[in-house]
Amino acid sequence: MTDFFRLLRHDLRLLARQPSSFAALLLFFVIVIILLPFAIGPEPDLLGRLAPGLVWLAALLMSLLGLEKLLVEDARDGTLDLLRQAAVPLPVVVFSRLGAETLMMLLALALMIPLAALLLNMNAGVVPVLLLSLLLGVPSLVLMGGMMAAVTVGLDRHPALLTLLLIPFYIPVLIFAVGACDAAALGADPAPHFYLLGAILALLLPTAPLVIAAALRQQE
Amino acid sequence: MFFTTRLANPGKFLRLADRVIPWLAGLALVFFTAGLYLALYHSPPDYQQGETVRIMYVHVPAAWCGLMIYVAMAVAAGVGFVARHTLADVFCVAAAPVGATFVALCLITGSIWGEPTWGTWWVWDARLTSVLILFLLYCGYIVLRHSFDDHEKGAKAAGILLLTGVVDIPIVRFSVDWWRTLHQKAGIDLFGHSTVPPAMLRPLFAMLLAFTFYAAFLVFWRMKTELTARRIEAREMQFDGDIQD
Repeated sequence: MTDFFRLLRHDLRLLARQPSSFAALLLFFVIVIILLPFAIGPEPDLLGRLAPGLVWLAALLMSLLGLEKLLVEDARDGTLDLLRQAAVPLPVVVFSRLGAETLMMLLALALMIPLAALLLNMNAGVVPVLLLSLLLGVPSLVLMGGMMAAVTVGLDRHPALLTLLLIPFYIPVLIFAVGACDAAALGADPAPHFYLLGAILALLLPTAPLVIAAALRQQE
Repeated sequence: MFFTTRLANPGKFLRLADRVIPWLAGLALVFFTAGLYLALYHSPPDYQQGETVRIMYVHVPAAWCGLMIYVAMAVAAGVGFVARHTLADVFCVAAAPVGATFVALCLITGSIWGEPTWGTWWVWDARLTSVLILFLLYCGYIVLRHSFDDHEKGAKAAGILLLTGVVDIPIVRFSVDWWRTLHQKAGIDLFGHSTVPPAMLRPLFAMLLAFTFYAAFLVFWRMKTELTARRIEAREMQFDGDIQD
């Protein structure tokens, strides 16, 4: 267990040493949120109704952006081979790497949500529901993204390949996350949507690191 | 299991395929003839939908084939992982475009059916969305599998995608029960209490069999082609490029 936390701190430190990629995530989110009102019209009620979905769309695109780089450099510079032979089991290494990625994304989103709420005229009661949906949903996105990234690690990744592979898996998360926010906006109970989001995460948490480790081992 | 391990030998499989393919083609032809006659002439129009109900005789079998082929591919991928069956990957590669086309046919005929009956070409309800996801899974499998030059690596990587996506199949099947959907609930109960009248069940089953035999014919044929293509590849690698001189 302490090995895992040590690994996690190590991965977080590695990510912290690349402030440019974190800044890129923030910037990307801001650009999407700023451009959207020009695309759909500035009418505040419309923006407010669409705001949770737009924030989630921006979050999805952010995660795709981060995933393109996930594991690629590790495979290229040999880190992957070293990690495969480490004393810590490969699934734990994978879990730590993805955990660091998730924490970075959640931090970026936490910083940007107030700005998005302001620019998109979000209903104040929806913001905590949105935050909870992100908390439950983003780890699922990263776990699924990690699976597809591991499966394509040996390939020259065409820019759209990961997107195509991940869309079928991202759609349910998006449906339930935005469903929860819309339910809250209408005054209905968002709990059923959260149960389903939690179920997806509960399915992925134990299985995805194992699948990723198996996929990485086969790509040698 | 014993039967399939004997067939792991490509040569044996090719000989079996040569014997089976004409029968599959023949049965498909017979059932298409019978099915189309029953569907277009010898069955009643629906009391509400009129003649447009006849699209069902293409829409439902296409959906059935698309789902069935995905499940078969997932089973094959699982067998490929566990038992290292030599033909598992050949089956998946051969069957994927066939299944994808059937799902596309299902979506298109469904859309055509929806316009006069529901008043819309598309709606984002649970059934249509999950079938669209199935189509995207097929496309993702095909793209991923063909990105690999190495067959073993490609089979394993794409197999993971296939097995992760199999979760969609029960969702497609039960989506009309678990959510409020515009798409109608299941009408056929295998244990006898169907809501579809017998006069419509007969053409439906005939067309289902026709589509299934046709799908099997296509998959066997494509497996033969794929095996031949791999043998050419192997020879090309041996002679370092062109095998013609």
